[in-house]
Amino acid sequence: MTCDCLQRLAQELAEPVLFDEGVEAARNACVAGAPLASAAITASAWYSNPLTGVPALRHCLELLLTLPLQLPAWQIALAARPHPETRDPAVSPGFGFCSPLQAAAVLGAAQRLHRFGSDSCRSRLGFFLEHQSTIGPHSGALNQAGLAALVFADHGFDLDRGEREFLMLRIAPALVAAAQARRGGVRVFPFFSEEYLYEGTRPPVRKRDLEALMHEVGLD
Amino acid sequence: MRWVLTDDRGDVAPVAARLELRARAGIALLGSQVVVHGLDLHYDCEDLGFVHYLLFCVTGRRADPRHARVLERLWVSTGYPDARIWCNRIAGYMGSARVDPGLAMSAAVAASNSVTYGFIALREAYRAQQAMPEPLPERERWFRQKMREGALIHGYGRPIHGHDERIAAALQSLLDAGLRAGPHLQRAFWLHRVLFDEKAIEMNISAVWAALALDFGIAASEYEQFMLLMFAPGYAAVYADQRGRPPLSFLAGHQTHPQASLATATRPLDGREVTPAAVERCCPVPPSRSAASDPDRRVSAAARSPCAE
Repeated sequence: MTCDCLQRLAQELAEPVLFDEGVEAARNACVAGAPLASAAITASAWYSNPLTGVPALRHCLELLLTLPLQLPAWQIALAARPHPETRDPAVSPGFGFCSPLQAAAVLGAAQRLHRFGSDSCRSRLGFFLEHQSTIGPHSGALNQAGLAALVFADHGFDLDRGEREFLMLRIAPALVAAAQARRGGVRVFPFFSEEYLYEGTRPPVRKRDLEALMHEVGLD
Repeated sequence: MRWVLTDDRGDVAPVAARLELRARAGIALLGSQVVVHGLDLHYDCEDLGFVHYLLFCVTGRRADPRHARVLERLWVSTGYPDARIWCNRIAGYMGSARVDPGLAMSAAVAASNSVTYGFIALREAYRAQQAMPEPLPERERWFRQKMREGALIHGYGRPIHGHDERIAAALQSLLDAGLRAGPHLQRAFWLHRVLFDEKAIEMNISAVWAALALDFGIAASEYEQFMLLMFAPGYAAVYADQRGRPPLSFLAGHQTHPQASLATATRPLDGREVTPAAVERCCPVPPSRSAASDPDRRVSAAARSPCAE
């Protein structure tokens, strides 16, 4: 893959519209003043999730590297099915788990990357775009991992390189967001602002007598 | 293909002759014996309990069992399984995304290495307790100097507002262990009273933990290593809860932005708009389930596609 292609993909994946919980988790990791390494660890962990992270990328890339450019083969290979490890329903690696807004943004990014690439390095991406309205109902919407897998497959990345590049591409914008959150600080971060619905049972409230305890342990 | 060790010039290092790994913590003679700081793990340590054993591994000293029990109860009393707490939120995101538990817990621990709360705050609280002079006149001068400097004394005031419910629990564990407050805990509460009288600032639990550690003879570096897993029950509870819910549903689709940048938050940087028509073309959903309002919008798109429906 040319450096330009990687940079272009990096730019697309760094668009705020494509931010996901990996970015938000990285913000959370640093907002109370932790080093950026904490955000890097957090983002690496999140982007190793089996649904939209590295395992999905690897699985999708593996499929794309071997699929012939024939629509029935893509429809079968990319059909959503229960995830073998997580048992989550209707998962196709590289597809689904993105909002309609993000799905549109990913598709827009795919179209721009296709226009940007040379003829020799956009065959799978081009094939997907040509048939996405037919493939989509089987697979769900293309997500960030699927976009990366298409680009990587067109450039002949093996699975290890795909994994490495994907992690780098996803972690970089998360670190930028985490640093920004840390600069803002925890006081302006909306912790505890969401409605919290505790679904469990509650025992009665009990209170210890702090003054008495202080006396008993000799803290008068 | 075999791998070999080389030195920094790339030469293959004859391991027996030039490479040495010195260690004092212990040795695992697999199939025979495991030695930890001079004790046989499987004969001398199994009755310690996990927290006591961890403390032993960190310090190399067997703690007074009463101290170990107090420390264990301190850990239990701060295992808060509330998904709103910042480090627990990390675990929540991880569980929701089905991240492997090992990576998830690593992330939560890493996020706890923070200044406002967490491990760096604990380190600073320890230093504050350690720095407080013992003789009262000197201590009062130290305090006045801190006030003149406008210094933040870790372990007091923010981020806890009002009473910290863990303080009474900590004193209860001390009492139940048959222990009385040591000199550092005495000073910690002296500072609490002075700050409360003068500034209406109360102590938080990190001051108590630090003072107890000092009273129990735990050094600063030992304290930092030992306390590392104390929030883990909270992470684990939140992770497990969210892992059992629909995938990627934890705070789904929400991003925290500085207010000023909200207008551009969902717009590509070069000004390309994501239009509603493009959204509809890409991923049709019923009109009432907009991207902003649909609570289960992150359920696999395939499951909601016209084909699946």
